[in-house]
Amino acid sequence: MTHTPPPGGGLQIEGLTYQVGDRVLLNNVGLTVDPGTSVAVTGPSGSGKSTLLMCVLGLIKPASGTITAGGHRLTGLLPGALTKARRKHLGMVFQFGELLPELTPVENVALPMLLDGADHRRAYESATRLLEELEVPHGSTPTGMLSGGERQRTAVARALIAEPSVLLADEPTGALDPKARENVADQLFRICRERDCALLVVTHDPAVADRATAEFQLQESRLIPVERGARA
Amino acid sequence: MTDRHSTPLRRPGRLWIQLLRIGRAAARATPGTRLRVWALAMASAAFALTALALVTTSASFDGRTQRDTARGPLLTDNRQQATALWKEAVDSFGTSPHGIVYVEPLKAGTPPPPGLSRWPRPGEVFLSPELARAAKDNNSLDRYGRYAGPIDKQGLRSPSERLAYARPAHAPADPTAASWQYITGFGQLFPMNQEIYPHTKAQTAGVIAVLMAVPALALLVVATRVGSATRDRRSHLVNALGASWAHRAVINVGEAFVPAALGTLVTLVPAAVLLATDVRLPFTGYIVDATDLRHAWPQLIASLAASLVLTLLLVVALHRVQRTKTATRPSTYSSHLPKWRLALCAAGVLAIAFSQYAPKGPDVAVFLAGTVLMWAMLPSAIAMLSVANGKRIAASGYREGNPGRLIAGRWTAAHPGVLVRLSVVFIIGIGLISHLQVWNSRLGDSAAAAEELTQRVGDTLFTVSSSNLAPGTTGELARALPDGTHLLATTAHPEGERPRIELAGSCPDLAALRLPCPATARPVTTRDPRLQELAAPYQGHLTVRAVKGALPTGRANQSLIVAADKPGRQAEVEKAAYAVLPGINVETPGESWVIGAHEKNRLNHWLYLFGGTGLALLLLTGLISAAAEFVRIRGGLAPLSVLTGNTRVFRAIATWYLTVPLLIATAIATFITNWHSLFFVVSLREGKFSWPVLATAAIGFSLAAVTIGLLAAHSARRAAPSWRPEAD
Repeated sequence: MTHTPPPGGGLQIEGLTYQVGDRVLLNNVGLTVDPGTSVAVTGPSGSGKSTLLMCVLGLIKPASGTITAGGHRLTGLLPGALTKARRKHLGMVFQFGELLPELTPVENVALPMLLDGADHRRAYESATRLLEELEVPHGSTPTGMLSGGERQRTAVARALIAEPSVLLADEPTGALDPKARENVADQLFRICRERDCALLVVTHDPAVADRATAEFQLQESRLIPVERGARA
Repeated sequence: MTDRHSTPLRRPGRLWIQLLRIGRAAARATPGTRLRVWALAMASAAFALTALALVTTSASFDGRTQRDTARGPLLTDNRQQATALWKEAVDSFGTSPHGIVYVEPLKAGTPPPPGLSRWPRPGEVFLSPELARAAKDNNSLDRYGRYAGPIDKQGLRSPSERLAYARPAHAPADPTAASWQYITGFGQLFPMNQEIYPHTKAQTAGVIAVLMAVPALALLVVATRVGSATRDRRSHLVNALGASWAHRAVINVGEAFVPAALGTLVTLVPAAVLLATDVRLPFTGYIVDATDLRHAWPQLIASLAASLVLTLLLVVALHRVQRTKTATRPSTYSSHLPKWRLALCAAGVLAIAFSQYAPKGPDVAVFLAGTVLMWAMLPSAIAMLSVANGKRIAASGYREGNPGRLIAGRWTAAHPGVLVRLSVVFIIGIGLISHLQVWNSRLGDSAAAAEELTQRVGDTLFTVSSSNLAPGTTGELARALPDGTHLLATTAHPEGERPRIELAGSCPDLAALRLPCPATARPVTTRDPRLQELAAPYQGHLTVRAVKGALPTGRANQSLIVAADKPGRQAEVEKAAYAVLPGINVETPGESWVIGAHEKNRLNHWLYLFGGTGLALLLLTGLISAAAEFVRIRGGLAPLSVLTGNTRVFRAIATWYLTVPLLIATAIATFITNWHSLFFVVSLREGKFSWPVLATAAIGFSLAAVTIGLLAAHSARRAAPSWRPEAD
């Protein structure tokens, strides 16, 4: 992942540094994820994996460095502009889905578009299509009644509904059983590839990390490339 | 080896401290922490306040009995042993009655009644501070004689008691004829200056327990369950790690101790005020004697400590680890509401509606049974309505792509309990306020009739009565009365075909009332409303007779009246009458009805005090319950609102989830209360319904509904930006 990406696509992180007090969590981190490709970041707990995602999302402000998504620089923006850029270019899948259990899957998936003031018919159509694509039942059953794997696939669909150029996933299979984990991971990587979306996934799970185009380990606040053959 | 293994067992204290620390740490890290801390502090304060009320009640009753005993006269039949003369009379200023104790010391050196620094001198009066205030307001400070000073509170049942110690200007010539009693001193429980408050210490404590402790318990239950999902998960975890009930209890105590102690400490402020100074209670006007509570300070400290311990015990008890739950999916859906409850509610409504057609007697029973059924089942009916309403709101939100309405509707349909709890408080509140008003108007019917009579006649006619009215006294009274007032005698003749009342007086006095002056009884017709009122019970038949000299008095059917030429003379007339005959009774027509009815109404003020406090606690419970649910909803929605930057949605959700349904509940409660109150009036054939009272209650609760929505939206909007994803 060292080549220069085409302008306007994917995710680029350059010289990212973040520290809490005296503790440096990210030290001059650089990373590029091209459209249609995926990068997995692994590492021990507390190494700063989730911090990296929060920096990309703009929920915390790094000490230095730049982040670009879909060709738009996210760092240094005012809060309003940052929210707008985040809405347009970034999607996020959380470990526990963070869905509203009382809403139907279609409503949950359509919600970001509805909150953005988009045409609701188009939102429902897109949501239905995405759920079908991810093989999630989309009747009137509340999301809370779905299985864990189905709920997580719904979360993937929700993250993709605004057609972001970058999808972030924080332990997307961490709360699932092995079978559901395989299924969700397969679908997540497939749909990102098919939609030409750059996927940055943070995971503990080697089986998930193996599916990525490239893998890095966050060690001592730096990203170290993992050679696939080396791990066994 | 044994030693090495047993080392950890020697210091079990460390484990408990560790567990307490875990609890304290957990209190800082749970969602909705701030809300839970406030809620627990308020619940604990409510318990402490109830404890304070109970101790104050007990101490006040004890103090009252003690002072009642100290001042009660020791009666004797032995005139030689007697040290003083004593007699009691009753009078009133306005609508509040008071007692007058006449005293006449017989031997020098006899101690005065408790609360007096000395015996009143002839023609002097000591008044309790409350009575002196009322007397000044009525321009009658010297009605019973020259004002010598206040009665100290040591001699009063409570500082709010209205009592006078008076000494006639002249020592009674014949004490036995004027109902005087011989006494040897003071110091026995004696029924003097009786109050209308009919409840004993235990009964009052019972009322406080029901109206304050039960709502406080409800508040605690809700406060304990704020953010309970995280806490339950922790309980399951420590349970799985092998923790015993006691270990979990210590963690829970560690978590709840600071807010619970804070709530108890806050109650020290009203306690300190009650200890420092006499406090007038709102609504009732009753003044709590600080001295009484000071005597009971050990009980006060013990009860506040007990309320804190009870709060913590209840918190622990409410954190049971449920083992019976077997479902793997959340079961929040409304199918659990049984339909038969709706049917029973409808049956209650029908019973109320048809009670008017039931035979007289059972009709009241049918009405009351219907009322109980309707109010008991109404929450379930509202829950079902809420579910249906939620589905409608969600459908409209879906159709129009309105995320606020969509989420609020789905929430309402899935969790009707929140709204039901809050609506029930609204319904009980509106119902209680309106029913108290109807109930009061029912008690006040006789008062209303009497007040109407007083308005018609004004204070220009007084009846004068006493058991010691001798002809000589009548002459003295006639001379003592101020100019412009006329003393006459009435003789009732209720028997025969033509009952009548005869008015007798001197020719000048009869002429002042525009009446003729016949030597023998002659029927007259008059337009004077006072005389019409006097003759009303005798079909308006009034006869007049002129008398020279003493007025006819002394028989059972005879009494005296005083007619004044213009209003506003009552204080002068009463003062003159009391100067002639201590203990004489002077009143306007119907005055005793008005006083009696007002006394009964005043009893309800205690209900307002305790019931109002309870209702406020219930409302607080509903608010916290709603806020807790909103903590949950904002938790669910925060990720989306952060990612999309849309925080306006919270206001829409709060409006549709809380404000609109609560406004609907207010409207339903207003309608039902109006309907039910009217049936109440019809069924019991008494009382009046007041629209302004109901409208005021409805407006108050509507404003509360709007405030709840705004607060919820505000808190969610403020909390959302601080959300951060948390992955394990």
